[in-house]
Amino acid sequence: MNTTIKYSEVLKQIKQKTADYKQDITVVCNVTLEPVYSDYLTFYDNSLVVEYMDITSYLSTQNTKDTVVVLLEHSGLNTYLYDNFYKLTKGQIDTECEKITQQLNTFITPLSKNHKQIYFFTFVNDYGDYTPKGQNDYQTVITQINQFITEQTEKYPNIHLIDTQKIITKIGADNFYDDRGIYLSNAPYSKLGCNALAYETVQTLNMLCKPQKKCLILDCDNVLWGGIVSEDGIENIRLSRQYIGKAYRDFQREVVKLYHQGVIICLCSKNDEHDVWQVFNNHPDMLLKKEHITASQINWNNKADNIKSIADTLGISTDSMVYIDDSSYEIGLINQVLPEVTTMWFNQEKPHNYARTLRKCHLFYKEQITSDDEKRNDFYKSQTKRELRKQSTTDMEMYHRSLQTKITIEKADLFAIPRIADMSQRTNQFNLSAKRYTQAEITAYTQNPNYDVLYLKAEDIFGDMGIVGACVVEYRDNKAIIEAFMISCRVFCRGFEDELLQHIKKNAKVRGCKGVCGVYTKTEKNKKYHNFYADNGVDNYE
Amino acid sequence: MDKQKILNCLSTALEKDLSQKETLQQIENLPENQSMGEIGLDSISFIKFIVLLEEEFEFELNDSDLLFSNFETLENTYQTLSKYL
Repeated sequence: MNTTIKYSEVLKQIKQKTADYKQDITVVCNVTLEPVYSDYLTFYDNSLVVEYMDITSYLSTQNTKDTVVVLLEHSGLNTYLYDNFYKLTKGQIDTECEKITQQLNTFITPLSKNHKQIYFFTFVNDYGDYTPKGQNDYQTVITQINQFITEQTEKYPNIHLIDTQKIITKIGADNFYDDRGIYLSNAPYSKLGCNALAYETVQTLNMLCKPQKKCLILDCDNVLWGGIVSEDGIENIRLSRQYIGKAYRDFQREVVKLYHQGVIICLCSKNDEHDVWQVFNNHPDMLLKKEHITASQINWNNKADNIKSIADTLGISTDSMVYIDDSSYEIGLINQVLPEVTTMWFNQEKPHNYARTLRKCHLFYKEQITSDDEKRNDFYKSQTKRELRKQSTTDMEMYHRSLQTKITIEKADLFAIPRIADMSQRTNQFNLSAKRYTQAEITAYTQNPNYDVLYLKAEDIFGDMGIVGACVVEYRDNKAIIEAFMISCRVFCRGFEDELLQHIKKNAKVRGCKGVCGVYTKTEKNKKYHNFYADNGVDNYE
Repeated sequence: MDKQKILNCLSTALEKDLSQKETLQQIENLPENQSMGEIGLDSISFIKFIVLLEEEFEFELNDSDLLFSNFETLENTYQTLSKYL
């Protein structure tokens, strides 16, 4: 968040920058947020086009925007309760609270049905009060309402909470509100408050809407430890449990956390390979271990080539990679040669920033960690082994047979839904309709008798790959229409897609369908597969 | 009182489709005693104008001065601001 930027500078910048695409959002609120919040919103993400509504006008219009942000002040929800709080008994307060939750309930249900993503700011107390001992505390009302909306987010997976309390903790309650604004135009938040609210809105929106990164590539010297191992020697590098070696150790802890979330961890370092592994194997304070590393390029070649070769080995595209280095030369090189790789430059003079920078970068955010995430790293590791075996086998078919692959295709159940939604968000190359689904949407399809959601899971001698393929099929007018068809890039060229398609055809026949057609939406990434349907006797659905 | 700086704030607040230069020209062409509503000053750009003024000159208007009518025309505006700047 840019806390020091002047408002005049914000206005100047948003006038200069125009986005190449627009994203409409509705903000439902009971206070005035224009113009300051809107301007900061555009400042942080200039593709956003905002429309404001209060609850009543929201409920009385047909609003079908993909994204809705809800920002409500508790005092506006039940003014009777707010004004008479200290007169009321505990029971009466509960009744009034009930009214608030009922009111919210009538609002939340259409919200979750009509929009893809809903972002709900949690309620906060305005800190003006001092509650004498033994009196009812208004905070309990706030807690109760927050409890209620938290329960709703469990019920509706497309509702997400934004923690307002966290924003206030960051900038301070005294800086958050602006009482003059309340009287002037019912605008309770200060300039800084609007700035922080807008920043958090954009952060959360992007975290959940933009494709997340899959792979973190790390330089070693002055990133994983302080100093240069080949020059300083393993006993002299800075990596310990005290100042300042602890900073590197804490950074490694964050990396290991990402590993457990399913992020692929790789090394790319200009170094003597032997020296690096010596640190990994023998240094007592290394938290990151050799088994966390899926692929590595430790040599004196240029780093752009090395990163490309990591991408090839793993079979993932370079735009899903993040690269960290302390050398601005290397960062500059990657930015120039592989601009799609996200780079992070670490200032080697300030290792105290490392851990927090990685923690706050939000590049690897996940809505929910599925059991497949933990498996993913194992998968890619055995993938490197598979790759080695492939090189030594001339006949691909023999190779595949030698892997003893077992494929299972099932209708989606509760356990598979999160993974299927996750896959639709992550898969780009073999994703024929390029559709992205939320968990809620997949759930809805599984409950609709006119739809089939199928998934494919596989295992071989190297390990269990989990769910690596999925499709959504609609049966309409005596036809099976493949609305979505995706195969994880980890298992390309293994014939899995044919298996899945055969299965769809078989199902269609059982249902008495006269034909099968598929939706193909061309994108930059899936164009390699534009003939897949035609090659397999499936019509393109127009 | 730096009138030019005030006008700059005003034009930043009013700027929509026109450039800063064009907006400034529009303001300068408006007689000082004519309502600024004619060049698009409304409740939202009024708030912008106030925020920009207070940021530029580092002061805070008294509550009693913070009325739309005190910033109705350029003449009013200069008069209202004269005790601060």
